[in-house]
Amino acid sequence: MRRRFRSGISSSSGLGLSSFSVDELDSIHYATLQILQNTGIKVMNEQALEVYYSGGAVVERHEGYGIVKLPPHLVEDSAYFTPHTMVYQARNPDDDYIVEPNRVGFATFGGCINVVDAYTCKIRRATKKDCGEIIRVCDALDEIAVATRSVNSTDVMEKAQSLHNLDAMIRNTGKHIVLGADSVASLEAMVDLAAASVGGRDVFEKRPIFSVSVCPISPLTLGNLACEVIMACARLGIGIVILPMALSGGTSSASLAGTLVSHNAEVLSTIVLAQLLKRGMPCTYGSTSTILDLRFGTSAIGSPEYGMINASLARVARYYRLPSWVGGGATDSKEADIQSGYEANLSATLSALSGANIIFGAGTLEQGMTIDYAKLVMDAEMLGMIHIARSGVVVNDETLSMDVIHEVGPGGAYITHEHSLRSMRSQSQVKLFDRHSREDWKEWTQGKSITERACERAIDLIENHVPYALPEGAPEAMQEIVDAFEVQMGKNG
Amino acid sequence: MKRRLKAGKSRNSGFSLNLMTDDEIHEIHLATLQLLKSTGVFVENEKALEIYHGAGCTIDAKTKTVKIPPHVVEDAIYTAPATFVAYGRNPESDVVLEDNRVTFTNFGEGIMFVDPETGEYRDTTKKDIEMASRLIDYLENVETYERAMCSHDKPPEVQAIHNAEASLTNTTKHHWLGPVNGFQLEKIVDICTAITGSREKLRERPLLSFTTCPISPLKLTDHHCEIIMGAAKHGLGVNVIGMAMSGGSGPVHLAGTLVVQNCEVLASLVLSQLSQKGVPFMYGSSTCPLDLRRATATVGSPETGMISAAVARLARYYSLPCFVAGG
Repeated sequence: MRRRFRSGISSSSGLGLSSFSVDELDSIHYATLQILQNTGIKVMNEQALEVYYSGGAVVERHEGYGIVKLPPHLVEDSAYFTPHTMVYQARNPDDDYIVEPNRVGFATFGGCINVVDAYTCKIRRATKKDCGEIIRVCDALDEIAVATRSVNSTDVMEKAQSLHNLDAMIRNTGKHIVLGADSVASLEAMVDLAAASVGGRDVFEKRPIFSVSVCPISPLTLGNLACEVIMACARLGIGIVILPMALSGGTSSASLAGTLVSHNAEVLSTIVLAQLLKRGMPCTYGSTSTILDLRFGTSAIGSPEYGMINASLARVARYYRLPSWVGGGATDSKEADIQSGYEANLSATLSALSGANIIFGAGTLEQGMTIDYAKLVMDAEMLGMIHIARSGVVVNDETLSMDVIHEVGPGGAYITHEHSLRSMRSQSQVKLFDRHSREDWKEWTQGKSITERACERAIDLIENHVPYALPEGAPEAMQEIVDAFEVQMGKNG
Repeated sequence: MKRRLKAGKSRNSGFSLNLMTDDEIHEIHLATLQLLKSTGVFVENEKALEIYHGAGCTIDAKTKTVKIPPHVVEDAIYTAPATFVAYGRNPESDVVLEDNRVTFTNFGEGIMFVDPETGEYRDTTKKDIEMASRLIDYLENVETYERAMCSHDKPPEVQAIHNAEASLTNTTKHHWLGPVNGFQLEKIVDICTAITGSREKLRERPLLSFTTCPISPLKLTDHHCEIIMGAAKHGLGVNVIGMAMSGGSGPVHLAGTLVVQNCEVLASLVLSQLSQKGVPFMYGSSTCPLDLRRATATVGSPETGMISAAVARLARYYSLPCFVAGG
């Protein structure tokens, strides 16, 4: 039967979360502007206060800090000047990741201190070796879009930790890297290190392969280190991910909307500083905010509120057309168990459907303290499922399959129809998860749990995955930079 | 500081899913109407064939195919109630089901059981149903009860009656029961009459609804028709659960499977509303893709959630209460 095209019907491009009306987003925005203008933020760095002041902010001086009050136009201008589309450049150009509103990708949590060993399945302090090996696994997993500093190298000189983290990461991934910096000196060494890994400073300036995460301190405070790092990033041409962790009920209002407002104020005031320093500086709207569980005194990143807050903030970021980097996929559970699966899926799904650019949380347990190889590998499979679901039900003449339905007729079989064979690849597939019948399941798993199978996969990747090669001489040059920095730090302290 | 009220701003009342556009839903509806008219459905029951015929449908007596004109379908959609009250045995257990109100129920029907005491994997029994329905009675977030398991230890001909007795005595929540056929349906109605005191009281506060499934693709079996007509006779609700499995009994593409299922459920709705105008009807769905590589039903796949969400959206388009799989 002939079916001519229908003229311009509206079609959907997948599943999306409807969270706020435009009126509600406006309300959050206005409330934020008022807080920034009337309450202001506490800034603990003299030079940053100067920058704010010369940009048109009102600065009230106090002993050791200043209160910065921002006029609305300055805030709106700054959000406008921030790039609305950008690329997280990767050492391997194939891994370049475009961030602009609604493109969804995933990453691991950042800054865990423990690791559940893939070989022994026991928990222990994370080392530089782990930092590298986790990233190697992430490098192999398609679902992980960018590499986050998942664990800290707790076995190295404390003052050189972030440099060691970057060293371990560059050696193990071709993807864009996001991590924190301990100090400006450290950041400068990190740039040298990254430049050495890509073949020179000029190459790095064109393609900065890492971004730096900076954390305002809730409520409404920009600490000295954060200011120093932002100013150094502006000078060095590095993008920042602004990552407040407001705890609703602890460091922000017990109401979620109130938390969104103060969080938003923290991000936007940081963006103002960045844009005053360098108009067009890449800034990513981040969040790892959640609730403080007032009964247990813990930051509950497995709670439904974690997903709600982060999905909402991803929506707020889209309102400003800013790239976003929010939480999702983490758990409060101490093991990669059923609780961890439920919690991780809920927050990751909410944030993904809300159109966050990066959702970080894969592999994380225990309020973000611990990373688990098995969960990382299992999460990757879950994230693949979320991607499938996000693509939604496609409605067009081909998918409505009317001729096929007519041909098969009442009581017929589709499985033998040519159309089924042709369309088979549109179905989702599993690698690690199980879809067998009970009998086949017994044979396929050989009695091994999914956690054991996930660990085996992680070990396979640790031992056999080969990351994107470094240029000749780069590994040695990088080692020299790390050694020299340790000597420098040792002398100073 | 004074903060005066804002003039009528639009507010979201919570998180929801942007799924398909109205245009896309309309396409699914039009495709369904065309297929019901041109391909039709197989109807196994003589009395049902007569009912369809009386309403203006075209009947092929030899192939038992019923072709339904669009206006008959649209009429049925219009006469079915938009609000479905799932009455409990006591008023505290009543639950209102309508446009966008979300509730949860258990899965049904399990045929195997992991014994909580011994860990043994075995057939389900009537005793297990008693335990399960008592547990469900306690669980706050499971608001209605679907027959959780079947009484393997009872003769197959009367299993549905035993299933009903086991749960009706252990939970006050609304029941979704599969009566299997018209005979057992009548017996279950008798049991419920004994509980409520009279047929009238049962009609007033029906503490159960009957679930029944068409066979995909596009077949309404003898028993399926019996249950729809039987429920209508007693003024009880019927929950028609489409089970078109994409790749097996429906096209691989989810949109096509939605169309097949929509044909089956709407053809059943037509029978229900022709039997008794205004009798409560649930748009049900319990489907998932057939994994074409392993030939297993993949209820854990993302598609299961996607199609259930799409069915819920489609039912809202029809202003029909719905019952879909998830969890």
